[in-house]
Amino acid sequence: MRLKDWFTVNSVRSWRRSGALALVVIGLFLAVQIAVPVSRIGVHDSARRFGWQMFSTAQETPAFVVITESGAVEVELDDYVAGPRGDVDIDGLLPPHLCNVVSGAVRVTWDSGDHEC
Amino acid sequence: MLTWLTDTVDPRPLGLARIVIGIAAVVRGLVSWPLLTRLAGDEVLHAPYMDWIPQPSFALALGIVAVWLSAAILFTLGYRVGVTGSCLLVAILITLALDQQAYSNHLYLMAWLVGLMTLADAGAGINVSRTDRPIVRWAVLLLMMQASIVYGFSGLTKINSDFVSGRVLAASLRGGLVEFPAALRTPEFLSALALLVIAVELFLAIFLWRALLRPAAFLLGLGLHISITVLMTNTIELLVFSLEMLALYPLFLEGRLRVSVYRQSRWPDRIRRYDLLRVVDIEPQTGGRELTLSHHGIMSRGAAAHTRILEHLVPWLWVAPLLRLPGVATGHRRRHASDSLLESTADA
Repeated sequence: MRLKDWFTVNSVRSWRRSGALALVVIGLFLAVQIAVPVSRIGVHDSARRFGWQMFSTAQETPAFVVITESGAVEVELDDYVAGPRGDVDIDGLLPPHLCNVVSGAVRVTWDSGDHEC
Repeated sequence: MLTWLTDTVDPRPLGLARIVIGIAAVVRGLVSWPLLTRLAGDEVLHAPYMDWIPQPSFALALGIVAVWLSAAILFTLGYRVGVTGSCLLVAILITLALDQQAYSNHLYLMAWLVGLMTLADAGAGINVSRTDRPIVRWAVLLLMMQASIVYGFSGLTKINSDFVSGRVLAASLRGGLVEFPAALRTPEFLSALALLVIAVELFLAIFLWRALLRPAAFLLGLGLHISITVLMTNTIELLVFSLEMLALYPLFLEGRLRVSVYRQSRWPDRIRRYDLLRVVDIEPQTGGRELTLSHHGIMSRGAAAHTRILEHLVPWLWVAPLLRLPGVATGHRRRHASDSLLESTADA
Protein backbone atom coordinates (compact mmCIF):
# COMPACT_ATOMS: atom_id res chain seq x y z
CA MET A 1 0.00 0.00 0.00
CA ARG A 2 1.40 3.40 -0.94
CA LEU A 3 1.91 5.90 1.86
CA LYS A 4 -0.62 8.39 0.52
CA ASP A 5 -3.26 5.62 0.35
CA TRP A 6 -3.16 5.33 4.13
CA PHE A 7 -4.83 8.69 4.32
CA THR A 8 -7.73 8.01 1.98
CA VAL A 9 -11.07 6.98 3.41
CA ASN A 10 -11.27 3.70 1.50
CA SER A 11 -7.84 2.53 2.54
CA VAL A 12 -8.59 3.39 6.16
CA ARG A 13 -11.53 1.03 5.92
CA SER A 14 -9.38 -1.62 4.29
CA TRP A 15 -6.65 -1.57 6.93
CA ARG A 16 -9.33 -2.10 9.53
CA ARG A 17 -10.23 -5.30 7.67
CA SER A 18 -6.76 -6.76 8.25
CA GLY A 19 -6.98 -9.74 10.62
CA ALA A 20 -3.29 -9.57 11.51
CA LEU A 21 -3.62 -5.93 12.49
CA ALA A 22 -6.68 -6.77 14.58
CA LEU A 23 -4.74 -9.42 16.51
CA VAL A 24 -1.77 -7.09 17.08
CA VAL A 25 -3.95 -4.21 18.32
CA ILE A 26 -6.04 -6.46 20.60
CA GLY A 27 -2.85 -8.04 21.97
CA LEU A 28 -1.24 -4.66 22.66
CA PHE A 29 -4.44 -3.28 24.17
CA LEU A 30 -4.85 -6.21 26.55
CA ALA A 31 -1.15 -6.19 27.47
CA VAL A 32 -1.30 -2.51 28.50
CA GLN A 33 -4.76 -2.65 30.05
CA ILE A 34 -3.94 -5.67 32.19
CA ALA A 35 -0.25 -5.16 32.96
CA VAL A 36 -0.60 -1.55 34.14
CA PRO A 37 -3.50 -2.07 36.60
CA VAL A 38 -1.94 -5.34 37.88
CA SER A 39 1.28 -3.47 38.61
CA ARG A 40 -0.79 -0.98 40.66
CA ILE A 41 -2.46 -3.55 42.93
CA GLY A 42 -1.39 -3.30 46.55
CA VAL A 43 0.50 -0.02 46.15
CA HIS A 44 -0.46 3.32 47.64
CA ASP A 45 -0.66 6.99 46.82
CA SER A 46 0.56 8.18 43.43
CA ALA A 47 1.36 4.66 42.22
CA ARG A 48 -2.39 3.87 42.19
CA ARG A 49 -2.92 6.07 39.17
CA PHE A 50 -3.91 4.34 35.88
CA GLY A 51 -5.00 1.26 37.84
CA TRP A 52 -8.81 1.72 37.80
CA GLN A 53 -8.80 1.77 41.59
CA MET A 54 -11.89 3.86 42.16
CA PHE A 55 -12.80 4.59 45.78
CA SER A 56 -11.04 1.38 46.83
CA THR A 57 -9.18 2.85 49.80
CA ALA A 58 -9.85 5.74 52.17
CA GLN A 59 -8.12 8.98 51.25
CA GLU A 60 -6.98 10.89 54.29
CA THR A 61 -5.85 14.42 53.62
CA PRO A 62 -3.69 15.82 56.41
CA ALA A 63 -4.45 19.16 58.08
CA PHE A 64 -1.63 21.65 57.44
CA VAL A 65 -0.75 24.58 59.69
CA VAL A 66 1.59 27.37 58.58
CA ILE A 67 3.65 28.95 61.36
CA THR A 68 4.35 32.58 60.54
CA GLU A 69 6.19 35.30 62.45
CA SER A 70 2.83 36.52 63.73
CA GLY A 71 1.31 33.15 64.68
CA ALA A 72 -0.16 29.89 63.34
CA VAL A 73 -2.54 29.79 60.37
CA GLU A 74 -4.62 26.71 59.57
CA VAL A 75 -4.50 25.96 55.84
CA GLU A 76 -7.72 25.70 53.85
CA LEU A 77 -6.61 23.01 51.40
CA ASP A 78 -8.94 24.08 48.56
CA ASP A 79 -7.19 27.49 48.48
CA TYR A 80 -3.87 25.91 47.52
CA VAL A 81 -4.67 22.57 45.88
CA ALA A 82 -6.54 22.33 42.55
CA GLY A 83 -7.34 18.64 42.88
CA PRO A 84 -6.98 17.25 46.41
CA ARG A 85 -6.58 13.62 45.32
CA GLY A 86 -5.16 10.75 47.30
CA ASP A 87 -2.82 9.88 44.45
CA VAL A 88 -1.01 13.23 44.61
CA ASP A 89 1.88 13.44 47.09
CA ILE A 90 0.43 16.40 48.99
CA ASP A 91 2.69 15.82 52.05
CA GLY A 92 5.80 16.16 49.92
CA LEU A 93 4.72 18.92 47.55
CA LEU A 94 2.48 21.28 49.50
CA PRO A 95 4.75 22.38 52.41
CA PRO A 96 7.47 23.92 50.16
CA HIS A 97 4.73 25.58 48.11
CA LEU A 98 3.12 27.05 51.24
CA CYS A 99 6.50 28.45 52.27
CA ASN A 100 6.63 30.29 48.93
CA VAL A 101 3.13 31.69 48.82
CA VAL A 102 2.23 32.43 52.47
CA SER A 103 3.96 35.65 53.47
CA GLY A 104 6.09 35.39 56.58
CA ALA A 105 5.89 31.56 56.71
CA VAL A 106 8.69 30.04 58.76
CA ARG A 107 7.48 26.48 59.17
CA VAL A 108 4.71 24.17 57.98
CA THR A 109 3.44 21.39 60.23
CA TRP A 110 0.94 18.59 59.61
CA ASP A 111 -0.22 15.37 61.29
CA SER A 112 2.86 13.34 60.45
CA GLY A 113 5.65 15.86 59.90
CA ASP A 114 6.92 19.39 59.60
CA HIS A 115 8.90 21.46 57.10
CA GLU A 116 11.23 24.39 57.75
CA CYS A 117 10.89 27.19 55.24
CA MET B 1 -11.39 -16.41 14.38
CA LEU B 2 -9.69 -13.81 12.17
CA THR B 3 -12.74 -13.69 9.93
CA TRP B 4 -15.00 -13.21 12.94
CA LEU B 5 -12.83 -10.35 14.19
CA THR B 6 -12.83 -8.57 10.85
CA ASP B 7 -16.51 -9.19 10.07
CA THR B 8 -18.57 -6.06 9.68
CA VAL B 9 -21.20 -5.17 12.27
CA ASP B 10 -23.99 -2.63 12.53
CA PRO B 11 -22.53 0.81 13.37
CA ARG B 12 -25.56 2.15 15.26
CA PRO B 13 -24.78 0.87 18.78
CA LEU B 14 -21.32 2.42 18.48
CA GLY B 15 -22.90 5.59 17.10
CA LEU B 16 -25.15 5.80 20.15
CA ALA B 17 -22.16 5.22 22.45
CA ARG B 18 -20.30 7.99 20.61
CA ILE B 19 -23.17 10.43 21.18
CA VAL B 20 -23.38 9.68 24.92
CA ILE B 21 -19.61 9.81 25.41
CA GLY B 22 -19.45 12.99 23.30
CA ILE B 23 -22.01 14.62 25.61
CA ALA B 24 -19.98 13.44 28.61
CA ALA B 25 -16.89 14.99 26.98
CA VAL B 26 -18.67 18.33 26.56
CA VAL B 27 -19.65 18.31 30.25
CA ARG B 28 -16.12 17.30 31.28
CA GLY B 29 -14.66 20.05 29.08
CA LEU B 30 -16.67 22.61 31.02
CA VAL B 31 -15.38 21.11 34.29
CA SER B 32 -11.79 21.34 33.00
CA TRP B 33 -11.99 25.11 32.57
CA PRO B 34 -11.96 26.08 36.28
CA LEU B 35 -9.32 23.42 36.99
CA LEU B 36 -6.97 24.62 34.24
CA THR B 37 -7.40 28.32 35.06
CA ARG B 38 -6.66 27.60 38.74
CA LEU B 39 -3.50 25.76 37.70
CA ALA B 40 -2.55 28.87 35.69
CA GLY B 41 -2.47 30.91 38.91
CA ASP B 42 0.51 31.12 41.28
CA GLU B 43 -1.41 30.56 44.54
CA VAL B 44 -2.19 26.95 43.69
CA LEU B 45 0.26 24.07 43.99
CA HIS B 46 1.86 22.81 40.78
CA ALA B 47 2.61 19.13 40.57
CA PRO B 48 3.97 18.37 37.08
CA TYR B 49 4.98 14.80 36.29
CA MET B 50 8.36 16.05 35.01
CA ASP B 51 10.28 19.22 35.80
CA TRP B 52 10.32 20.28 32.14
CA ILE B 53 6.51 20.34 31.84
CA PRO B 54 5.48 24.02 31.80
CA GLN B 55 2.96 25.56 34.16
CA PRO B 56 -0.32 26.02 32.26
CA SER B 57 -0.99 29.62 31.24
CA PHE B 58 -4.42 31.23 30.90
CA ALA B 59 -3.99 31.28 27.09
CA LEU B 60 -3.10 27.58 27.03
CA ALA B 61 -6.11 26.77 29.23
CA LEU B 62 -8.34 28.75 26.88
CA GLY B 63 -6.87 27.00 23.83
CA ILE B 64 -7.27 23.53 25.32
CA VAL B 65 -10.88 24.08 26.39
CA ALA B 66 -11.80 25.72 23.05
CA VAL B 67 -10.40 22.77 21.08
CA TRP B 68 -11.90 20.32 23.59
CA LEU B 69 -15.43 21.72 23.41
CA SER B 70 -15.59 22.27 19.66
CA ALA B 71 -14.10 18.83 18.95
CA ALA B 72 -16.45 17.19 21.49
CA ILE B 73 -19.53 18.79 19.92
CA LEU B 74 -18.54 17.73 16.38
CA PHE B 75 -17.55 14.27 17.68
CA THR B 76 -21.01 13.93 19.27
CA LEU B 77 -22.63 14.85 15.94
CA GLY B 78 -20.48 12.27 14.17
CA TYR B 79 -18.80 14.85 11.95
CA ARG B 80 -15.38 13.68 10.65
CA VAL B 81 -14.80 11.57 13.75
CA GLY B 82 -11.28 10.65 12.63
CA VAL B 83 -10.27 14.32 12.91
CA THR B 84 -12.55 15.54 15.71
CA GLY B 85 -11.90 12.44 17.84
CA SER B 86 -8.13 12.93 17.43
CA CYS B 87 -8.38 16.63 18.41
CA LEU B 88 -10.50 15.75 21.45
CA LEU B 89 -8.03 13.04 22.45
CA VAL B 90 -5.10 15.47 22.19
CA ALA B 91 -6.91 18.06 24.35
CA ILE B 92 -7.65 15.40 27.01
CA LEU B 93 -4.08 14.03 26.94
CA ILE B 94 -2.55 17.51 27.29
CA THR B 95 -4.83 18.20 30.26
CA LEU B 96 -3.84 14.91 31.87
CA ALA B 97 -0.15 15.53 31.24
CA LEU B 98 -0.01 19.12 32.51
CA ASP B 99 -0.35 18.38 36.22
CA GLN B 100 -0.88 15.41 38.53
CA GLN B 101 -3.89 17.18 40.01
CA ALA B 102 -5.65 17.05 36.62
CA TYR B 103 -5.73 13.25 36.75
CA SER B 104 -8.96 11.45 37.42
CA ASN B 105 -9.92 7.91 36.53
CA HIS B 106 -12.92 9.04 34.49
CA LEU B 107 -10.78 11.47 32.45
CA TYR B 108 -8.18 8.77 31.84
CA LEU B 109 -11.06 6.47 30.83
CA MET B 110 -12.40 9.16 28.51
CA ALA B 111 -9.02 9.33 26.76
CA TRP B 112 -9.13 5.57 26.11
CA LEU B 113 -12.77 5.64 24.97
CA VAL B 114 -12.32 8.56 22.58
CA GLY B 115 -9.13 6.97 21.20
CA LEU B 116 -10.78 3.59 20.69
CA MET B 117 -13.90 5.15 19.17
CA THR B 118 -11.79 7.12 16.72
CA LEU B 119 -9.97 3.92 15.80
CA ALA B 120 -13.30 2.09 15.45
CA ASP B 121 -14.77 4.70 13.07
CA ALA B 122 -17.52 5.58 15.54
CA GLY B 123 -18.84 8.21 13.15
CA ALA B 124 -20.14 5.45 10.86
CA GLY B 125 -23.52 5.22 12.58
CA ILE B 126 -26.14 7.78 13.69
CA ASN B 127 -24.31 10.79 12.29
CA VAL B 128 -25.01 14.17 10.68
CA SER B 129 -24.77 12.78 7.17
CA ARG B 130 -27.61 10.36 8.04
CA THR B 131 -25.92 7.53 6.17
CA ASP B 132 -24.64 4.51 8.05
CA ARG B 133 -21.76 2.34 6.89
CA PRO B 134 -20.65 -0.95 8.44
CA ILE B 135 -17.72 -1.12 10.85
CA VAL B 136 -15.40 -3.96 11.82
CA ARG B 137 -16.08 -6.04 14.92
CA TRP B 138 -12.61 -6.05 16.52
CA ALA B 139 -12.55 -2.32 17.13
CA VAL B 140 -15.92 -2.51 18.92
CA LEU B 141 -14.63 -5.50 20.87
CA LEU B 142 -11.88 -3.31 22.34
CA LEU B 143 -14.48 -0.95 23.80
CA MET B 144 -16.39 -3.88 25.29
CA MET B 145 -13.16 -5.20 26.82
CA GLN B 146 -12.49 -1.74 28.23
CA ALA B 147 -15.80 -1.84 30.12
CA SER B 148 -14.98 -5.24 31.61
CA ILE B 149 -11.45 -4.19 32.54
CA VAL B 150 -12.65 -1.07 34.38
CA TYR B 151 -15.34 -2.95 36.32
CA GLY B 152 -13.05 -5.92 36.93
CA PHE B 153 -10.11 -4.00 38.38
CA SER B 154 -12.39 -1.65 40.24
CA GLY B 155 -14.06 -4.64 41.91
CA LEU B 156 -10.85 -6.59 42.54
CA THR B 157 -8.97 -3.69 44.11
CA LYS B 158 -11.87 -3.11 46.51
CA ILE B 159 -11.19 -6.50 48.08
CA ASN B 160 -9.19 -5.02 50.96
CA SER B 161 -9.89 -4.61 54.66
CA ASP B 162 -10.45 -0.85 54.37
CA PHE B 163 -13.20 -1.20 51.81
CA VAL B 164 -14.81 -4.42 53.06
CA SER B 165 -15.11 -2.95 56.56
CA GLY B 166 -17.31 -0.17 55.11
CA ARG B 167 -14.85 2.55 56.19
CA VAL B 168 -14.28 3.77 52.62
CA LEU B 169 -18.02 3.90 51.91
CA ALA B 170 -18.62 5.77 55.19
CA ALA B 171 -16.22 8.46 53.96
CA SER B 172 -17.39 8.43 50.34
CA LEU B 173 -21.18 8.42 50.84
CA ARG B 174 -21.53 12.08 51.77
CA GLY B 175 -21.97 15.42 50.06
CA GLY B 176 -24.08 14.03 47.21
CA LEU B 177 -27.37 15.22 45.73
CA VAL B 178 -29.17 12.87 48.11
CA GLU B 179 -27.97 12.42 51.68
CA PHE B 180 -27.26 8.80 52.59
CA PRO B 181 -29.73 7.86 55.36
CA ALA B 182 -28.08 8.30 58.76
CA ALA B 183 -29.95 5.27 60.12
CA LEU B 184 -28.13 3.05 57.60
CA ARG B 185 -24.71 4.44 58.46
CA THR B 186 -23.85 1.46 60.69
CA PRO B 187 -20.65 -0.61 60.32
CA GLU B 188 -22.70 -3.76 59.63
CA PHE B 189 -24.83 -2.20 56.88
CA LEU B 190 -21.89 -0.37 55.26
CA SER B 191 -19.85 -3.55 55.29
CA ALA B 192 -22.70 -5.49 53.64
CA LEU B 193 -23.07 -2.68 51.11
CA ALA B 194 -19.33 -2.80 50.38
CA LEU B 195 -19.56 -6.53 49.64
CA LEU B 196 -22.56 -5.87 47.40
CA VAL B 197 -20.64 -3.18 45.46
CA ILE B 198 -17.73 -5.58 44.89
CA ALA B 199 -20.12 -8.35 43.79
CA VAL B 200 -21.96 -6.03 41.37
CA GLU B 201 -18.76 -4.73 39.78
CA LEU B 202 -17.36 -8.23 39.28
CA PHE B 203 -20.77 -9.43 38.00
CA LEU B 204 -20.77 -6.62 35.43
CA ALA B 205 -17.19 -7.39 34.34
CA ILE B 206 -18.19 -10.97 33.51
CA PHE B 207 -21.88 -11.11 32.71
CA LEU B 208 -22.24 -8.18 30.33
CA TRP B 209 -20.82 -10.77 27.92
CA ARG B 210 -23.42 -13.48 28.66
CA ALA B 211 -26.78 -13.14 26.92
CA LEU B 212 -28.67 -14.98 29.67
CA LEU B 213 -27.62 -12.65 32.50
CA ARG B 214 -27.09 -9.50 30.44
CA PRO B 215 -30.48 -7.97 31.31
CA ALA B 216 -29.64 -8.35 35.01
CA ALA B 217 -26.22 -6.78 34.35
CA PHE B 218 -27.85 -3.80 32.60
CA LEU B 219 -30.18 -3.22 35.52
CA LEU B 220 -27.49 -3.66 38.19
CA GLY B 221 -25.17 -1.35 36.26
CA LEU B 222 -27.83 1.33 36.02
CA GLY B 223 -28.53 0.98 39.76
CA LEU B 224 -24.83 1.18 40.62
CA HIS B 225 -24.26 4.29 38.50
CA ILE B 226 -27.36 6.13 39.68
CA SER B 227 -26.39 5.43 43.31
CA ILE B 228 -22.81 6.64 43.01
CA THR B 229 -23.89 9.73 41.07
CA VAL B 230 -26.51 10.88 43.55
CA LEU B 231 -25.04 9.67 46.85
CA MET B 232 -21.39 10.66 46.51
CA THR B 233 -19.66 14.02 46.30
CA ASN B 234 -18.33 15.29 42.90
CA THR B 235 -21.72 14.68 41.27
CA ILE B 236 -20.75 16.10 37.85
CA GLU B 237 -17.58 14.03 37.59
CA LEU B 238 -19.41 10.87 38.65
CA LEU B 239 -22.15 11.65 36.14
CA VAL B 240 -19.47 11.80 33.45
CA PHE B 241 -18.09 8.43 34.60
CA SER B 242 -21.57 6.90 34.64
CA LEU B 243 -22.33 8.15 31.13
CA GLU B 244 -19.02 6.74 29.90
CA MET B 245 -19.77 3.28 31.26
CA LEU B 246 -23.51 3.07 30.50
CA ALA B 247 -22.84 4.21 26.92
CA LEU B 248 -20.89 1.01 26.33
CA TYR B 249 -23.71 -1.37 27.37
CA PRO B 250 -25.59 -1.40 24.01
CA LEU B 251 -22.40 -2.64 22.33
CA PHE B 252 -22.94 -5.96 24.13
CA LEU B 253 -26.36 -6.55 22.55
CA GLU B 254 -26.18 -9.16 19.85
CA GLY B 255 -28.41 -10.82 17.27
CA ARG B 256 -31.44 -9.53 15.46
CA LEU B 257 -34.98 -9.82 16.81
CA ARG B 258 -37.68 -11.18 14.52
CA VAL B 259 -41.04 -9.99 15.67
CA SER B 260 -44.32 -11.31 14.29
CA VAL B 261 -47.14 -8.97 15.02
CA TYR B 262 -50.73 -8.45 13.91
CA ARG B 263 -50.66 -6.10 10.94
CA GLN B 264 -53.19 -3.60 12.28
CA SER B 265 -52.04 -3.50 15.87
CA ARG B 266 -50.13 -0.55 17.30
CA TRP B 267 -47.00 -2.61 17.97
CA PRO B 268 -45.20 -2.03 14.64
CA ASP B 269 -45.31 1.76 15.07
CA ARG B 270 -44.42 1.59 18.73
CA ILE B 271 -41.43 -0.67 18.14
CA ARG B 272 -40.13 1.32 15.16
CA ARG B 273 -40.31 4.55 17.19
CA TYR B 274 -37.79 3.27 19.71
CA ASP B 275 -35.72 0.98 17.49
CA LEU B 276 -32.83 3.42 17.29
CA LEU B 277 -30.33 0.57 17.01
CA ARG B 278 -32.37 -1.04 14.17
CA VAL B 279 -32.22 -4.50 15.68
CA VAL B 280 -35.87 -5.48 15.17
CA ASP B 281 -37.25 -7.04 11.98
CA ILE B 282 -41.03 -6.75 12.00
CA GLU B 283 -43.11 -9.32 10.14
CA PRO B 284 -46.72 -8.14 9.91
CA GLN B 285 -49.24 -11.00 10.24
CA THR B 286 -52.86 -11.11 9.22
CA GLY B 287 -53.69 -14.01 11.52
CA GLY B 288 -52.69 -14.40 15.19
CA ARG B 289 -52.82 -11.24 17.29
CA GLU B 290 -50.25 -12.26 19.84
CA LEU B 291 -46.84 -10.55 19.80
CA THR B 292 -44.30 -13.26 18.90
CA LEU B 293 -40.54 -12.94 19.05
CA SER B 294 -37.72 -15.09 17.74
CA HIS B 295 -34.25 -14.22 19.05
CA HIS B 296 -31.23 -16.54 18.85
CA GLY B 297 -33.67 -19.29 17.84
CA ILE B 298 -35.70 -18.91 21.06
CA MET B 299 -39.39 -18.16 20.65
CA SER B 300 -41.32 -16.07 23.16
CA ARG B 301 -44.85 -14.71 23.11
CA GLY B 302 -46.99 -12.03 24.69
CA ALA B 303 -45.57 -10.21 27.69
CA ALA B 304 -42.33 -12.25 27.63
CA ALA B 305 -41.74 -11.20 24.01
CA HIS B 306 -42.58 -7.61 24.89
CA THR B 307 -39.99 -7.63 27.71
CA ARG B 308 -37.28 -9.05 25.47
CA ILE B 309 -38.03 -6.50 22.75
CA LEU B 310 -37.86 -3.61 25.24
CA GLU B 311 -34.48 -4.95 26.40
CA HIS B 312 -33.17 -4.00 22.95
CA LEU B 313 -34.85 -0.61 22.50
CA VAL B 314 -33.38 2.76 23.56
CA PRO B 315 -33.80 3.96 26.26
CA TRP B 316 -35.83 1.08 27.70
CA LEU B 317 -32.99 -1.42 27.53
CA TRP B 318 -31.57 -0.22 30.87
CA VAL B 319 -34.86 -0.53 32.79
CA ALA B 320 -36.84 -3.22 30.90
CA PRO B 321 -35.24 -6.07 32.92
CA LEU B 322 -37.36 -4.77 35.84
CA LEU B 323 -40.30 -6.41 34.03
CA ARG B 324 -38.73 -9.80 34.82
CA LEU B 325 -39.03 -9.30 38.59
CA PRO B 326 -41.67 -11.70 40.02
CA GLY B 327 -44.31 -9.18 41.13
CA VAL B 328 -43.76 -6.85 38.20
CA ALA B 329 -43.86 -9.70 35.67
CA THR B 330 -47.33 -10.77 36.87
CA GLY B 331 -48.68 -7.23 36.55
CA HIS B 332 -47.04 -6.86 33.13
CA ARG B 333 -48.63 -10.13 31.90
CA ARG B 334 -52.09 -8.97 33.07
CA ARG B 335 -51.65 -5.54 31.50
CA HIS B 336 -50.41 -7.05 28.26
CA ALA B 337 -53.36 -9.47 28.12
CA SER B 338 -55.92 -6.72 28.79
CA ASP B 339 -54.30 -4.44 26.17
CA SER B 340 -54.50 -7.23 23.57
CA LEU B 341 -58.12 -7.87 24.48
CA LEU B 342 -58.99 -4.17 24.14
CA GLU B 343 -57.29 -4.07 20.76
CA SER B 344 -59.21 -7.12 19.56
CA THR B 345 -62.49 -5.60 20.76
CA ALA B 346 -61.72 -2.31 19.02
CA ASP B 347 -60.97 -4.16 15.77
CA ALA B 348 -64.20 -6.14 16.03
